[in-house]
Amino acid sequence: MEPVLKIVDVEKSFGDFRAVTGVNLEIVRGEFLAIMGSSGSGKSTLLRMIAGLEAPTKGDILLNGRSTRGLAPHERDTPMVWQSLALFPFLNVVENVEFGLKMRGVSAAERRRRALSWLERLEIGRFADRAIDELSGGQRQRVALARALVTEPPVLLLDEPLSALDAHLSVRMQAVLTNLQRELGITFIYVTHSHSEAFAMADRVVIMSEGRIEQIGAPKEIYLRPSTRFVAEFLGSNNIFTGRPEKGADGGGYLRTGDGLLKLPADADPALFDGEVDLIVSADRIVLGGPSQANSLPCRLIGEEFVGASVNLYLETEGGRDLVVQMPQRQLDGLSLQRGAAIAASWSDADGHVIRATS
Amino acid sequence: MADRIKRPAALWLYTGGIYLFVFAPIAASFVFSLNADRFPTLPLGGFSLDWYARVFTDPAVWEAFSHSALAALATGVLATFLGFGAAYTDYRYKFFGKSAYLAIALLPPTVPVIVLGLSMLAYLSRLALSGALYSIVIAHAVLCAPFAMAIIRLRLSQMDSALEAASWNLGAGPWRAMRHVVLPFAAPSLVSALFLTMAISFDEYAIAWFVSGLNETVPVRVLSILQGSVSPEINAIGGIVFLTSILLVVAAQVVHLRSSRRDARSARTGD
Repeated sequence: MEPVLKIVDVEKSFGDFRAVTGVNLEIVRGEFLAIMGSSGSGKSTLLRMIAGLEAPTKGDILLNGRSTRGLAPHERDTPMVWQSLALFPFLNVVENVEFGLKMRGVSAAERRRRALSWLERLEIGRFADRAIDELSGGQRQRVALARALVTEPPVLLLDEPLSALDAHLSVRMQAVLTNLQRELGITFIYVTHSHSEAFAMADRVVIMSEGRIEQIGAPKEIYLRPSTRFVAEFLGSNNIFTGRPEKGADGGGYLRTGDGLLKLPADADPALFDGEVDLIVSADRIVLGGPSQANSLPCRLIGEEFVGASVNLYLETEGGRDLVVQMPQRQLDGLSLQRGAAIAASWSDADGHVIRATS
Repeated sequence: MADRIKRPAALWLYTGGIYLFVFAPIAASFVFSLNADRFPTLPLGGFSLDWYARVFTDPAVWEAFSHSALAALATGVLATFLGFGAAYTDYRYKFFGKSAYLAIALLPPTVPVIVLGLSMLAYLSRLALSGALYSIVIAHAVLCAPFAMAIIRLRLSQMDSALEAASWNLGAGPWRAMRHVVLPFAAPSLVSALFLTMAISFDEYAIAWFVSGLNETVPVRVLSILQGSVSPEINAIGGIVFLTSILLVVAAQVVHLRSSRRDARSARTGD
């Protein structure tokens, strides 16, 4: 499919600081793309460059195949939902939504009609004549969405729009956003630092760090096969073993670690075996006290942390390294573990994922 | 317990004393403007609007009032425009020497008005701009613009920096963003700056005396009446001038308070 947005070798420097560097990205029509990273990763700068609020130092951004070089923000059709929402406090709800149409010279009657129909669609039609300061956080969010969507743009930019909402409201708005995006077929580019938002909504996730793209992929792919150590650590709840791989007597690959030999998955790329590798094992793939699997490490329980329905257990191996294991709350109740108790942590070799170690 | 009750009472007394100290001379002038006697002595004579009647029939006073009003209006508009420009520049741009720019922009009110008036006279007469009504407007705009800037700058500092960018993002070019976003947001401060600068210009004596030539403003007229004779007419003029300025200042305050109260409300309901 023809990409609606193509980012070619984009770099952005502020003085000596490189906020974004070497970014290449193609976004197709109707895609929900999340750009994720911690603060200072360059994700917001990238979004601002798409909107024309910053000019790339190098490279180009093509919108519908046309270069956006030299185009001022008001000359491109890339409306944004702002983190602060940036609703106009001196205009009421429907006037806020009409703003984009007014700037495009749509007649008063026509823009009122279109603004009202968007307010209806977002279920806030009855607030049309309210002042912005009379609305709740969730209602304002919908006004901001309606204001950005009313011109029916090819691309909608969203800059952490849900970060100010409480968890409950945020989940509800996520459903609103995904439904809207499916119905409209508009490309959404959603910047966030939240794993749950990105992974719940996006078709593809871009993970950025220090101005670079670390990995692009479907949420599940990134989750199961992080391509760099940074991504594996950024996602949290991953155990990373580093060591030199070797061939075992059975012909399979093994990793020599302070805790002995760990069996590598059979699909590990043999090309990696000439140097150090990282073996990544997701915390929810490790079983405690269960039937023995290919890899098993005797451990001691040192702490636990409840995360809603699941629990994170912090263990220490005999070799002295930390291990995190995630399991459902109910399963833990069945184990009746005491702090300091000895228990075996095991996982199937097939659940490991091998990448080249970064030196 | 008794301590708690006494303290507010003492505070009330103290506050009342301060207000009395500040306003007693003005009140006295106002009271004597309604007194039938020629000289301000107690006990008061009968109630009379005679002095007001005399003021209103004096063509020189009328002329002075119209000069003052015209100068105040023109000064207010010019100073508010200049003040907005300076405040917006400060809000929107980062540049080398910005703190020096701000310090210089806020400087004129700190210069003694006698010095300002004298130097204005020297400067304007060199440019052949002195001795006319617009000379007062030019000189007063210099004095008033920093006040306008301070008020407008305070308002702009409350503006979310994303607001202007949001309007560009929705298709507004820089000028339309100014017209549809920045000016409406700043509107309350523009109105209060206009009223306040008008009040300052209306009251100002020293600079007006130096540069006005034959175009006497009210304060200048008052002083020239005083030089001839001490007449209760002065009290009547004083009463009118006081009312005019206090109305302008109160209007400026009301507009300012209403907008900041609305902002406080939206900040409270905002999450």
